[in-house]
Amino acid sequence: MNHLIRLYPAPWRARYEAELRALLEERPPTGRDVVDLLLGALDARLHPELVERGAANREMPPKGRLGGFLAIAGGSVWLLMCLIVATANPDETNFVPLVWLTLFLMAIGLVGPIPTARARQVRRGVVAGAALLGLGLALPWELKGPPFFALTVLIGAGLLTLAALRAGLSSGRRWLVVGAGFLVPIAIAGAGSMGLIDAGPVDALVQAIVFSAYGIAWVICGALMVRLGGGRRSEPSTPSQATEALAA
Amino acid sequence: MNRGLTEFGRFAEPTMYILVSLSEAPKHGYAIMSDVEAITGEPLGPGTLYGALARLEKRGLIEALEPVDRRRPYRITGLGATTLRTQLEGLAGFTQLGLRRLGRAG
Repeated sequence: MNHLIRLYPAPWRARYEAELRALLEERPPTGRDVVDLLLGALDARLHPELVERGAANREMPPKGRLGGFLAIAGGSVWLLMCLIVATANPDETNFVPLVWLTLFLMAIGLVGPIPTARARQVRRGVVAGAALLGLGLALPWELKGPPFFALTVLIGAGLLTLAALRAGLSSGRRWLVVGAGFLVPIAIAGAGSMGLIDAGPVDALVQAIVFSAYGIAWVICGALMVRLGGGRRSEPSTPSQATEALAA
Repeated sequence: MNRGLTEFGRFAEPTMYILVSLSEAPKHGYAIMSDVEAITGEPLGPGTLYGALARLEKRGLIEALEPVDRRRPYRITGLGATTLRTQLEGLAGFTQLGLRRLGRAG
């Protein structure tokens, strides 16, 4: 029975697992109930929004706007860093603190909108992703070399994105998944251009475009989070309002 | 527009049974299952029960009360009662129409 219940998504289990277990203890499941539970788990995965605004989640209000503002701030700092790197001599300019600030803001921006209980599930991924990205960016160039740099950025960005995807999927926040989804190709392209392409006049332009696009993507993602996160606060009071909210 | 319980798709019937059950008094999952089985003669599966409860709760037609020893009772809300009444009146009208037509045909 444990295996069956574990098929349900984590937010659903957080809300209903205790009472479902109590029910199944009182009324041991038949073969038909097992099939019914399998279909129920599938339904819960197809409709994660059902639990999102349920009574048990009221103590975990969405923080989409805060996460969005942090993502916007992270993207802006990233763009500022791009500007500094493009106009100043990178060997003489210490932009590592800016990188750390960017990573911190972006990581919080990713997990910020997720209720605390779910953020814990992806914390390791976020910490590992941010640490790898930071390591790749902070180590002196002569120590890391292009392949190591590209690898750390790729894996770091990948881990951050996976954490966002996992959190987004488990919380039913499709917009977070969408946001993370368009960060993946940009992060990969950025890492590829940073580490795998030799610096030349054309490549430098490509790098500038990709780096800037990455920051801009974060700002857009943040703006979406602010817009959508703010609209999720009110509970529907009538079926028609609920229908409209669902349709939206 | 209030489209009633038909919005729930395949959960429309179970949600109506659950609302009827809760219109008597607040009940927890097992009590709802037993009551629905007594009303309809058909068992209500646990997966269907909680799929229906989640939908009803989300639409504000029922509300969860404080759990008692892991068993959480549910109560029908004012909106739930209104929606159920509308649904049942619609069904009653449909039933009368069907019976009238059957009577004419017979």
